[in-house]
Amino acid sequence: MGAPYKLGVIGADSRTRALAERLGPSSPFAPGPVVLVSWGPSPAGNNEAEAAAQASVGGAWFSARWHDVLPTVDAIFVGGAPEGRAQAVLAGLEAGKAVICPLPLGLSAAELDGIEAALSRGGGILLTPTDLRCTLAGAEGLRQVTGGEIGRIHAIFAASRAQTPSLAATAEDILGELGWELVDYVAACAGGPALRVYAAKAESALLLTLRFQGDLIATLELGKTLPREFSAPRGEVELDLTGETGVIRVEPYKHAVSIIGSHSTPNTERRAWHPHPVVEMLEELESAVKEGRGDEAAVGRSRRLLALMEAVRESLKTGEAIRLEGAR
Amino acid sequence: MQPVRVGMIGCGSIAQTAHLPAVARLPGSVKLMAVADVNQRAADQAASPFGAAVYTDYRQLLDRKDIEMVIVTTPEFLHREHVVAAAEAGKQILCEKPMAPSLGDADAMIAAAEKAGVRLMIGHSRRFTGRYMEVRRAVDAGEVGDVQIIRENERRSRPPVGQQGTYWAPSHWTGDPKVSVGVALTNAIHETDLFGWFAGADPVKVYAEHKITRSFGLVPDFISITVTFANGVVASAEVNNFMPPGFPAYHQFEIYGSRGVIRAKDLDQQALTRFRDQGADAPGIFERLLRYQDAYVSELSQFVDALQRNLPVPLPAREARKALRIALAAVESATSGRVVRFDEKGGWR
Repeated sequence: MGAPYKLGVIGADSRTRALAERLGPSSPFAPGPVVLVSWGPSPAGNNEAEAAAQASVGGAWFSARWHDVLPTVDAIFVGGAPEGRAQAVLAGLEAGKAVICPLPLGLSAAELDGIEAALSRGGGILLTPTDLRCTLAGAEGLRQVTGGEIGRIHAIFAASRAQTPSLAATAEDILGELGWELVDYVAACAGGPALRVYAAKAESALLLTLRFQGDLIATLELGKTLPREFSAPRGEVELDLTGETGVIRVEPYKHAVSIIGSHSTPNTERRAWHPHPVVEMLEELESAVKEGRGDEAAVGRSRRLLALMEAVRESLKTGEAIRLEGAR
Repeated sequence: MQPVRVGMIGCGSIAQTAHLPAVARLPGSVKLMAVADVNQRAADQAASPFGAAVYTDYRQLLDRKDIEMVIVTTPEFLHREHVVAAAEAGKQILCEKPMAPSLGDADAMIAAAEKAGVRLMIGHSRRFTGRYMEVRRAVDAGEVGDVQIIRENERRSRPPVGQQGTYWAPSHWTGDPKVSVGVALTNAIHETDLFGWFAGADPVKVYAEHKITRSFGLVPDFISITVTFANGVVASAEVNNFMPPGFPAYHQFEIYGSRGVIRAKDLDQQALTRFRDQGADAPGIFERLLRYQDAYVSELSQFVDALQRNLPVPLPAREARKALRIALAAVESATSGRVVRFDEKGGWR
């Protein structure tokens, strides 16, 4: 890494904690002060975030108000609850910072309008990665598809599964946890706009059918369906991208390493798949900061994704297939 | 007990690859007396190993009083004619899936069999594979609790570039839009049958998208289907026939229940794994799903056993009609772009 820059980390969710763990003094990403901020209502959340910061990042300091720390950093990583991200992104851009915010960037068109306006005023740069795009398999699959290496894409099957919650999962729970990333990835593979969307809700899953321009049909399974005994700390994602000349199977989280001890001394150890997507996110941020430019398509991509998610909700509400603007 | 004397109407690919080998493996249960096909060469080839008589007019086969049972393996657009005639001739009938190209045909077949007092079974072979029988047993035993989601992917290869292959080619009946609706009945009828079998309730609505992928194609060879059942079960399948040439037939089947999951994937080292409250286990290695010859043997054996012991057949025609109804409604949905809802009269609106 080049000249250190100061990074603020906003939010205390699992992703930002994973990020903090990789920002210790010996990390190649060690940029200076790292700020962990939690705006959750529970004091325990703040304490937990502070403890994580102190434990994992030497010299990091903690603030419960991210507004206070914006002036002290060059870039911010926006995590935490999706409901609060747009506000932090907007503040970051208006302060001229480099902002990296994994999807969802905003939960309404108005929020995206504000972000777009801030960008157009020349404030800051913006990146909107996802974990899936930042895994080795996910990045390679998307590169091959958009590079035309298997010809025109005919069909996509995509599944994202998490462990079954103790209480019944609502459609919003499922969409919020699993929907954004997978729908974004499928839309990126499709390239063109979606024409028709259908969604059906099962007990703890959503089954989606998306028809895109170019005659591409995608079948998606979003399920909080994995038994707790199922060994998949990051859940399970699988995609089959079927094109004219080949098929790409993407299973980004199957690269975990399991070390299984002998029967006499059972000590199964599971290590996280490597590298964690936040590493790729930090590399993207570093490049963006160096080059002084972010992802110019970020807001447009977020708008299309938002429209797709709204169509999914509308389909769930009405029980009908939803035709999107631009549909034939 | 004497073997049941059998006639076979239709000597095409499914007869040659599935039903005739099944007959050959059950010499103590069935004896092939005669075959009929408009293609004399195909009929000769089918009859030869069995020393069976050959007819190019199926009515001559049905006129034989010594034939007790017929296996109908003609294309589905001929099933009504052949099954109704066989029923009127008093034959017991095992008919290859799909049952028919329309519910009207299916109803006529059922009515003819009931009027004649003969058994009519539709050969949905998946139900007779070791893998699905094990899934059925596990579901019946409550091992995964209440079924909530049923999913299957079925994939087949396409012919090499520059070739049309057999299936889906306009010169073959499966690719001729005058007599074929394409993938919904050629493959996906398997999935719609499994959906109903495992859901255990009436379907409420279906949504589907389909497409033609082959440059020369005239009927859809891809379909994505989602069915919602009255008990809240949702079933979804993606069925495609354009995997790269040489890609093995692939099936990925999953049931998510209130207390566990059953998965069965071709090409995995362990083809069936079960996750339950007590942990994961692999009750058996079932290799590829399409150990179809075993399935056809089991299908024929169980049908004959039902005849000989005067028991109900394991897969009655009315059960097969349910799968047909979903598949045809899926075609309607995919063609119209709308959700199709089933009515209480056995059709849809």
